[in-house]
Amino acid sequence: MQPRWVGHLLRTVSSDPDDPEALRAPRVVRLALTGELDMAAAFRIEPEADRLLARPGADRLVVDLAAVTFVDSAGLGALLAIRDRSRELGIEFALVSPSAPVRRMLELSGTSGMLAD
Amino acid sequence: MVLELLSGLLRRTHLSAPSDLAAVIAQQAKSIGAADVVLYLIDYEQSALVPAPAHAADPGEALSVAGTVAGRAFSSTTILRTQGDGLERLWLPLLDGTERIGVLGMSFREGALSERLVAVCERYAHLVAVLVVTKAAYGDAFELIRRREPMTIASELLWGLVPPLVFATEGLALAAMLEPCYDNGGDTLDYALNDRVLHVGVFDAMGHGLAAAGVAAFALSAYRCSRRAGSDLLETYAAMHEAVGKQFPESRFVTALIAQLDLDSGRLRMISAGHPPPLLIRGGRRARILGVEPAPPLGVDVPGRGPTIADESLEPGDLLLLYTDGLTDARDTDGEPFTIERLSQFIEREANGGQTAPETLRRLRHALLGREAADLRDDATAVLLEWQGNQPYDLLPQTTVL
Repeated sequence: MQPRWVGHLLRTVSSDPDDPEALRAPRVVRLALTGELDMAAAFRIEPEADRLLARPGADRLVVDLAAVTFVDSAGLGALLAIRDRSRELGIEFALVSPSAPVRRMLELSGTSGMLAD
Repeated sequence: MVLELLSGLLRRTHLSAPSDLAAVIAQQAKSIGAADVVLYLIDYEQSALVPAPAHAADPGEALSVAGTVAGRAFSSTTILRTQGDGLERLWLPLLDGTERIGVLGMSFREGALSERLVAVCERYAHLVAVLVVTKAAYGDAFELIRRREPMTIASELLWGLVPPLVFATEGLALAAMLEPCYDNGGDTLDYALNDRVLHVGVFDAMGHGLAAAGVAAFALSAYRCSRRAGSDLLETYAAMHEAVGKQFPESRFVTALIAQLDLDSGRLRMISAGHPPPLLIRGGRRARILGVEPAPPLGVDVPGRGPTIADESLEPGDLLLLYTDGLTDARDTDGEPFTIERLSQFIEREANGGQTAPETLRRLRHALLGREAADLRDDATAVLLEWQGNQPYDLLPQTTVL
């Protein structure tokens, strides 16, 4: 049987200090997730988010859910943990572009209020 | 005869320890001519009846619920009778109220079992069941008999909190299941009948293991605390939400469905805290998922709507299933997911087959978890309610001759 956590994470970071574009760009760090956001994935995205949040000068963390196909309660827990950590560091947190099933899952779990749009 | 038998048992057990009970029960039953009296308790898996040893030297053999007369007496809540070797053996279901705790086997000389004597044995079994439950609080003997595997700390915590898994009263039958029984991770449930209102809740704490069990236990206690303070559903949601959020600020949360059912009118009111809505199975028709607008899970601080109360009117004979998502995420023994559709079909089929609520859930448990091929990805909890309006519910033993 195919494990449910085949999903893995990607990151696109646009605040590279060596990139001249980045100097003009808002200091946004971006975490784009793909696949299924369940407990196994949750364990991996939290340290990844911590790494991004620790970048000097970051003032906004954007978590992109466009390529996420499934979120369970552990995945939701991870998103909440990342949001809380961002807040502690004074970094704005935005959860964006949920796929239709993910938006539905967030609605069913009473947490669609987390979405930025 | 009855008075002497029952008062004799009460007197003899007044000062006895739980581990002495089986021997006292056997001894007292000699006064009505019963031999080979064995007290069997149902295991946590609801698959075997395990004897409580009357003598340490003679533990006896467990009997499977499937395929034995004892098992049939248990699952059908019926007194059964077998014959052989010049003896007649009675198999009496042990019911504490309506909760099935085991069976009592008693043998008599052939021809001795008059209808009246069977009725006496039925009363005796009733008292035995009540004594087992009462005495169980004072020692581990019965608890250990019911376990066929070691239990985790998380399971100890949750089993210590949940009410009896079967309950029936005028117009209502309730049965519940909490799996995996030796290794629960974060699901729990509660109910209480106060006057003619049934209060019921299912809770699912995010994550697994002891940490999740601790959060679930905390949410359940917050629920009880509000209920016992006389709070309504909205106040209860608010109090639980705040309590979980304060106690577990580190992104721990609990989804919950809390409901109140008026047993006279059938009016059902519910709040969902990010929890799957219940299923309604009505009169053999296709099951319906009730519309309950979810509020945020307990302890989750997100902007948005506050809780809203969903209002439904039950009809006599309606079945209502409250559950956690571990049930619909589970794979059956063939590796197929146990979807909501399959879940409703299963419940409908068992209900149409005349199974009682507790037996329906026992069968569901076995459909989900063949002993060998359990694949529960998450904890699976269910509460099945049957509202009968003003019909009395039939869960009491019926004497029949096999």
